[in-house]
Amino acid sequence: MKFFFRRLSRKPSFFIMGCLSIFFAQVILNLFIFGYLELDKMKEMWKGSFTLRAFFVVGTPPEKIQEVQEKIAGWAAVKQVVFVDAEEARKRFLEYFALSEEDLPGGENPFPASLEVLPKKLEDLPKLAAEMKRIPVFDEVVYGGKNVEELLRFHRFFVGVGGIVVLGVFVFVLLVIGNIVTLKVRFHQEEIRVLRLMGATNRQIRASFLGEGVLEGFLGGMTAFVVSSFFFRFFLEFLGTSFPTFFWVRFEDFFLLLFLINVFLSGILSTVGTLAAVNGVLREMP
Amino acid sequence: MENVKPFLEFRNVSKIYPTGVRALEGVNLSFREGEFVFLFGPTGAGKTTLLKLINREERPTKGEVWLSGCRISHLEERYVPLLRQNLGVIFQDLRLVPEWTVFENLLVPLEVLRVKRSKAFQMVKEMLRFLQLEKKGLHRVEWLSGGEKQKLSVGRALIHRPELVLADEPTKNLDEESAQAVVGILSEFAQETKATVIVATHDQELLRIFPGRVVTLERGKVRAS
Repeated sequence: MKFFFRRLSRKPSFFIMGCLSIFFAQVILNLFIFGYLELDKMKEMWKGSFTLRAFFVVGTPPEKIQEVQEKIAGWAAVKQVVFVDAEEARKRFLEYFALSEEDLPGGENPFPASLEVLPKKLEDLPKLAAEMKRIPVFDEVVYGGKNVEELLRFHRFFVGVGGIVVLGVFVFVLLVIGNIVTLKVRFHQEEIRVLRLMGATNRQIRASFLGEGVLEGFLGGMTAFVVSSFFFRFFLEFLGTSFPTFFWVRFEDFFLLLFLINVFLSGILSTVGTLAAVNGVLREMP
Repeated sequence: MENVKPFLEFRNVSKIYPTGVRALEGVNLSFREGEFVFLFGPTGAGKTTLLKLINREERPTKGEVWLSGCRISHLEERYVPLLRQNLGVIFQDLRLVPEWTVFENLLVPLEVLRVKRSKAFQMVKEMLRFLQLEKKGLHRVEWLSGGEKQKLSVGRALIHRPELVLADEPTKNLDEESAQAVVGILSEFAQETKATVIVATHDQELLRIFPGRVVTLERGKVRAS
């Protein structure tokens, strides 16, 4: 560390530059992590559209319902079949609209029993719906309809483009950090040459830069984490207040993930970059 | 004295650089422990190459270099740092770290040898006194005069009290007085520690003033020893 403090006191700009490169790289990465998690969360909102609901004709005998349920469950394209009786349907209705029993008129339960069917592949939804409509015990078969196809296209587009962009950002991050670390080590080339001529082992030389690399990564990563945390906390609070019905990812859900990625990834990138740069310089020396 | 085993020995050493320059040709030389030797010759005689072969900055094209019974010309790379830790070298281009202070530059060999910090500091202070640079300890190297830089380079080579000191043109670009002061330091060190000191120079005046063996090199060959 004594070499690090010596370098830092003479030329702090390289250390600051290293920290900043890691900071900005991590902030960009954090934004993409948030975007990806939010996209994942959106699926919850669309879940209703991806489920087939088939309502039984009022008065369908339980044994017939059982028979139809078993038949549908046996279809190759079906992942899951759930029976929702009239009581459960009434309960869900009350919950969804935040009503109490007193708000509903007494007498007979008007909600029909139904089957909720989840396909293995979302693309099979229209075909399954058509098949089920042909079964006479069903009064009505509903699902997201055209929305499903659009939502699927939307999701595929975001995952595909997002993946490419994240990969691009990651390569960019590697290049920026790598170049700054190389620049810094090259600046100290003469110092490395002197140390080597004085009999310093490669391990000693690497160690003199390694501590600096680790500290740079840690500081850059931690700063990125703290700044991102503040931003996401207030941003999500704002979104939650402004658009309360939308599904927003909770900050508590990705707090730890963000911390681990920021601190460890930065540390690893900075350390590996420093080692590669020092090794490059050492290889060129007699 | 004839039967004493040489401390440093060149056996039929030749060095041809990739450019085709023949720096040394069939050099046979031996040095005894505690000798003060002037390696004398004009520019291009092969003096620097000879020293570089000892420091393992270069390897001979042919022949062998032996130091203390060890064939250093064929030493494995991983042992080279160990060899260098036991040498004191004054480079022709000084090789000081300009942005470091005088104190820090002197500290380098001790840090490489992992000498305890308090002891290392004490040794540096003593060396600064010996070099008469005690008031310049916290000055950066880039602020020093040519003579002071040369003295510092000598101090860095001697601070860990090596058994073999190699000085490549240590009086280059110095006025007569400074040149004699620098070689005087080396001579004093040799007498005090019984170390072997090899000084490469083309300054005949120094040979006249300081006692020592003179090895004359010319066009890569030993002309007189």
